[in-house]
Amino acid sequence: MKRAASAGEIASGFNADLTSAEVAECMRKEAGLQDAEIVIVGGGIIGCAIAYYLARRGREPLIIERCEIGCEASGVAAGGLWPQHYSGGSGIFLELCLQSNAMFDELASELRALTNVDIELLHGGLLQLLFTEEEVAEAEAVVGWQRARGLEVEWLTAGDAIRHEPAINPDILGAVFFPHDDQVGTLQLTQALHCGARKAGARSWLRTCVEAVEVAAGRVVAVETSRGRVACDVVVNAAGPWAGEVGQMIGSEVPVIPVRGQILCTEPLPPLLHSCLITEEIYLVQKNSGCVIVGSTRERVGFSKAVTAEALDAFVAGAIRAVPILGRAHFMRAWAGLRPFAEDELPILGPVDGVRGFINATAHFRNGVLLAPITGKIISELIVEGRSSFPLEQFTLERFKSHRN
Amino acid sequence: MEHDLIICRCEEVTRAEILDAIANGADSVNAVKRWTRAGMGLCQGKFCGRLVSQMLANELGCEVGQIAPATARPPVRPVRLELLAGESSGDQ
Repeated sequence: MKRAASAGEIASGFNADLTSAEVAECMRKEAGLQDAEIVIVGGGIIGCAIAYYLARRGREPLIIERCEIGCEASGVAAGGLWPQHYSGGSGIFLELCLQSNAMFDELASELRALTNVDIELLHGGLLQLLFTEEEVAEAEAVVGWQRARGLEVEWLTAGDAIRHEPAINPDILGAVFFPHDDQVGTLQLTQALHCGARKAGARSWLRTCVEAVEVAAGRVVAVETSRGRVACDVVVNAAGPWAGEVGQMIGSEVPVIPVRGQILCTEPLPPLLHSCLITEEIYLVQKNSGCVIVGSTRERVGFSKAVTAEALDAFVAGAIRAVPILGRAHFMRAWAGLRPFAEDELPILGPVDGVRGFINATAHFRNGVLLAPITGKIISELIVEGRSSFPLEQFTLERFKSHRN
Repeated sequence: MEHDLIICRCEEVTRAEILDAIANGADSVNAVKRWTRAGMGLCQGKFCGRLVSQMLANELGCEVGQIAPATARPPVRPVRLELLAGESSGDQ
């Protein structure tokens, strides 16, 4: 392979067979190699989505990832896109989730055209199985407010539910069907966003740590990394559960903690489930590979990614209760991921008071995959236009300050 | 060597797909696994893991010993869910 000429070689006239235009280009690249207008800290699904939307707008962000792309929660998530089930009531967070969910069809075709990666978006909906009178009463309330808000949601009798999804336990009292709560392949989506971002002009440095953020006169001027100093105007903190450490580099408290979620995965099975399923105990998602994924837990255990016997017991019992034939399937693998969690369960998005150029994009908790497209769009708007098309007041870091006062 | 040669038999991943992932920046067994599913199948990479390591060493120009192995996930061999359910929760 032809070695690129270094600036030193060019300056000393060592590499004499280059034209002057080539020399100028090489020197520009060499001089600017360490610099970037925008540095994104974290190569998970959020960092990759932000890089993708910025690159689509002609910017050339640099992703700095301390390990590998999608090697934490983004690479192990089940891929449920469940705005109606998970957003916990009507309000601004539901709107954020719904808008992001509506972006997936277009994103899937863009990424397919740009990267040839199929993100395995499946439109099967989400079926919530109801086993007790209490669950039925709670579900009735949810169906009530969702219909009042104009959302599509169906109430199914046990018979209807079994016709829709024949593998489920016939002992249910009924079910609720969310026709637009779908699923996606998270590994594929993260990879496609990263690949698409790079094709559109983004760069990424893997196995590189950000060690400090340099601030001068109230604005970001550089980051110090294990590969040296990178001058930049904007730093995006997309470090997931490690976002607190990055915040500390500018003296800002970003109150994010890791919340562990465990997952069990079966061997590949023939097509068994048409929709994603959810019960009081567990959810079940059959992926394109045929594997059925059972999750999840919500545990505050620091940065431990251990898998526990208690969680597997609960998954096995819950899975067999929801879909009895799964008892005959083989359990192939189990793993855990650490989701970035803030106490009010909302993401932390947007600028920080007092340090211009520093932008948070973390604390997505269970909705990181669902919220990746809208987060990429919003943060790219903030950087390119200086304002977001979605109101961010309830999502910025400032909300925690007002709580304390 | 044939490009449609199957390297990961469980997930039917070809040599060409793995070379493509390495060319796109996958530089560890785990990264190849995340990009192509090689090693995610029933055997958990017991067959293909060494082949993938060798391919990475060849493409990246380093020793096989320098390539980190993939993350091991429990259980070592697949187990029926109902067996697990029976052992752990006899009262349910």
